[in-house]
This record gives sequence, structure tokens and C-alpha cells, in this order.
Amino acid sequence: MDKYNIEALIGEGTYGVVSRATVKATGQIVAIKKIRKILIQNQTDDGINFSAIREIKILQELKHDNVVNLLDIFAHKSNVYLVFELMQWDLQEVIEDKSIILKPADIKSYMKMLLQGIEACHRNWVLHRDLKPNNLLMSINGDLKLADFGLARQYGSPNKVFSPQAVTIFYRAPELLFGAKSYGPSVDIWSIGCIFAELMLRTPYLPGTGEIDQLRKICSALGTPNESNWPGVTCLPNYIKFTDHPATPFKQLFTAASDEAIDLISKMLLFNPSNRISAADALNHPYFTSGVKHTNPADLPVPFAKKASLLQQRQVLAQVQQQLLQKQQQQQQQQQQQIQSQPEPIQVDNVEQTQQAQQV
Amino acid sequence: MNLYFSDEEIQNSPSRKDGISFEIEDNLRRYGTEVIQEAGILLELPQATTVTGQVIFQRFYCRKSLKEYDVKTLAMGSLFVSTKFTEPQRKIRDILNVFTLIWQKKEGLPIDYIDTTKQAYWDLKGDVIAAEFDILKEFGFLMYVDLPHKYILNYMKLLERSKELAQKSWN
Repeated sequence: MDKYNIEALIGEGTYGVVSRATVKATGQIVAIKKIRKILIQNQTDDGINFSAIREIKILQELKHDNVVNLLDIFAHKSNVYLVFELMQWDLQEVIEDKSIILKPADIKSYMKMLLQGIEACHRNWVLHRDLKPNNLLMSINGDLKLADFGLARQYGSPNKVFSPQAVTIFYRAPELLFGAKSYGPSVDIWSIGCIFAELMLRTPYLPGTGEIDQLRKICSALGTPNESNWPGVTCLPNYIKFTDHPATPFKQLFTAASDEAIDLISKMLLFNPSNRISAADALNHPYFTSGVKHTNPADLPVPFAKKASLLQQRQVLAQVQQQLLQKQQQQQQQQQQQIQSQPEPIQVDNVEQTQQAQQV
Repeated sequence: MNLYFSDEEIQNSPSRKDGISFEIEDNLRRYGTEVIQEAGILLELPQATTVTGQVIFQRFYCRKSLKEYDVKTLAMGSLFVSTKFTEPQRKIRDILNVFTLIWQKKEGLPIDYIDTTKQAYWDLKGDVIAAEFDILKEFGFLMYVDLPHKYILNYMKLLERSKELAQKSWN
């Protein structure tokens, strides 16, 4: 706790408040998530929050440029604090800011970073299970990072039962809506497909109001799932038959998208989870190798409201780093001066003095 | 990421420094793991979770003394942390119930459910949550356990030993 200077409250998460703070030693700006105190008298309280434990466990194992970085965990009194690098804004703000025009190259850049992040998760047998623009945070350098692993789980063990009540409804894959209890990385890919579409449309692609409505929206956009395009669908616990509806061709909806983009999104939004493209394959898709080159993360558009503060923060950071550098240089100079200014009566003394100087 | 202790650390455990003899410490730690095993069965936990709980329990006594931390509370705390980290979550109330049942049986006390309206229940719950917190704090939330059992199984297979021996290593 003494290592950090808490500055301001910046938000409220699912299980506690988030504050902005600086590390006293380095001037680095961080976000500190405080986990709510445990109330023993509360009937339903079962010790330290379960989703916090999940997040800690998974983030300790996952270190990737496109996954939010957990810097430190510490306990103070009876609270637990998680220290993250401070992120600037989320993708939701970018999508909702109408002053931003997203060029195809920008979308490509977002998609590339998003897929790299999720590929790292899947490679480590972690399902994120709550991908949405809200949880995709942008760093000071414009890098996109996955955050909020409170719903994430490890997968790979065949007999584990999962809850189908995962993922925010707009981005929930059809197998979850039909109540499947075992699923895999393809649920994250479906979410990414929806985010991809949302980046192009600038509005949620499948904004359902409930589970049934969500399925209806999916059917009207992508056609109706049946045994021929998704073998086994009728055996899922909550399967409901929908009236047949032809799919709207992607080309008709995404008029400005390139052929490669259309091909990629259609592979991400396939009904059959086992045919859906994997994150690693998606990264090798021609979409990323042909056409316009993806934008450099640092040049990605910044939401209007954040522009001023971002510039300021970048300046402050640069200043602090410079000050630190100067301090270090001064210290080094002083040390050198001390060593030089001391006379050398006996050699043994001299060794001791240099040691002292080094300790200082 | 797995945690290791040197021979020296194991030989000179904190309990030893508090004047607890090797035999007593060994006995108590064996007792704790046995209880965790029984509770794991009653709670219908996967064996991996139970074993993880046992490893956490043993690790903790490499860092802290038996004089300071009660075996019973810590056994409950270890299993509770383990269920949180390896996923099949169990309610703290279930854990308390199962452990009290085991102790009632072992000590020949009348078998009775714990009354959640009594203060004793809340005290017990508080103790377990405190133990959970102490465990997490002691290891800086690094709870990754590389189970030794899988190596045993591998070597068993390699050396073509009997299945019974392999089974014994698990439980």
C-alpha cells in the first residue's frame, strides 16, 4: 500500500472499485482494483470473491502484449488489491464516438490485436467467455488488450461441465443460447465475429433483448440452423425450432468490406462450432496478408473526450521519466565525485569508502 | 511457477523452531491430509482438487508453525482455497458441515448438523475465511500446484509397476 499514491476513483467493477494511482518509485500510472471486504456475517458471502480468484489465477499464467498486464497483488487489512497497468479507453467508446471514422486499415489493426490476444488465451487453454467491446481496453500506446477475466475458465478436460450462462447476450454464440453444457474456444470466436461486424457497422450487430429474441435475430441475419448446416443441433437441451429464414448475404450488409473481410467474418459466424475458424487460423487468413496494411497501434483514432487527457498523460509520463533519469545521473555523478574527491592515505580505507559510497 | 522448498527448509520447519518435535508435526500433518481426503470424497470433489488442497496444506506448514495455526481450521481453509482455484466450487457451508461430521465421527461425538443460527457456526466460518486469507497472503496468491502424482503415474507406467501401487499414490 505504501508503494502507491492513490489519486482518483475511476470506475466501479463487478466486485469492487477501481482507482487510479501512481507508483511512488517510478512514477508509473496504474489502476488498482480493490476487492470488496469479506463480510462474514453475510449469509451468501463465501470468502474472497470467486471471480477475483479466477482473474488472479488466469492472469498470473497469461502474459501477452494483448492481454491486460497484472502487475501486482497485495493484501492490506482485510482487502485484496489487484494492480493493473492503467488503460485509457475501451473499444466501446471508439465505436460510439461518431466523430471517429474507422478506416478498413484501423479495423484490421483492431482485429489483429484482438485475435492475437485470444489466440494466446486459447493456446494456454483459457476461454475468455466475456468478449465485448467494453472489455477490450486500449493502452496509452494504442495497443488493444483483453481485460476482465472474471468469467474466464480453463478448458480441455473432457468431463468438465460449463454453464451456458456466459457471455453478454449480444455476443453469445448460438450453442450457448441452445443450452450446451460443453463448449470450446469457438464461443470466443463467435463473439469476435460479432465485434468485427460491430466495428464495420458502428452499432451492435445482433442486439437481442432476451435469449429467444437473440436467437431470432441470429436466424434472421444468418439463416436458420438445422441438421444439415449444424449436425446435432436438435439434440441440444434448449433447442427450439425456428421458422426457416434465408440468410442475409454479408455482402449486402457490409457494402464497404473487402472480399477477404467477408470471407473471414462468414467463417467466424458459422453455426456449427466445430467448423468455426480457430484464432490461429484466423490470423493466417488472407484478410491480414492482402489488401491495405493494418494501422500502427499508436496511430489508431482516439475518442474525442480522451484526446486532451491522453496527450497530457503522455507528457507527464515523459517528464517523470526524464526527472528520474536526471536523478539517477546526478546520483551517479555525486558518487563519482565522492570517490574522486577522497584522498588516498591508505589503500584499505579507500576500499571501504568506495563501498560506502556505493551503498549510498 | 511451481513452488519448491529446499531440504533445509523442510528439516527446519517453523514448527520445529517452536519446539514441536518431528513426530508430532508429522502426525498432525498426516492427520490433516487424511481429513482433507475424507472430506474430498464426501464433497464429491475430483481427486485433483483434493490433492491440490493437501499440497497447499503441507506447503503452508513449511512456512508457518503449528503453534500459530490450528490443523483443523487450516485443513478446511486449504480445501476451500483449492476448490476455488481448481473450479468445482463448493459453498463454505458445505465444507464446514462435512468437516464437522468427520470430526464428530472420529472423536465419537454425537452426530449433529451445525446450527447456522448459532454463534459457533459464524465463528467457525470466520476462522476458515481468515485461514483462506492467510494462505493466499502467505503465497502471494500464487496457488499453482504442479501435482507430483502425474509423475508418479508416468514412472509407474514406465517401470511397469502394479496398478495397485499407482492407485495408492492417488489416495
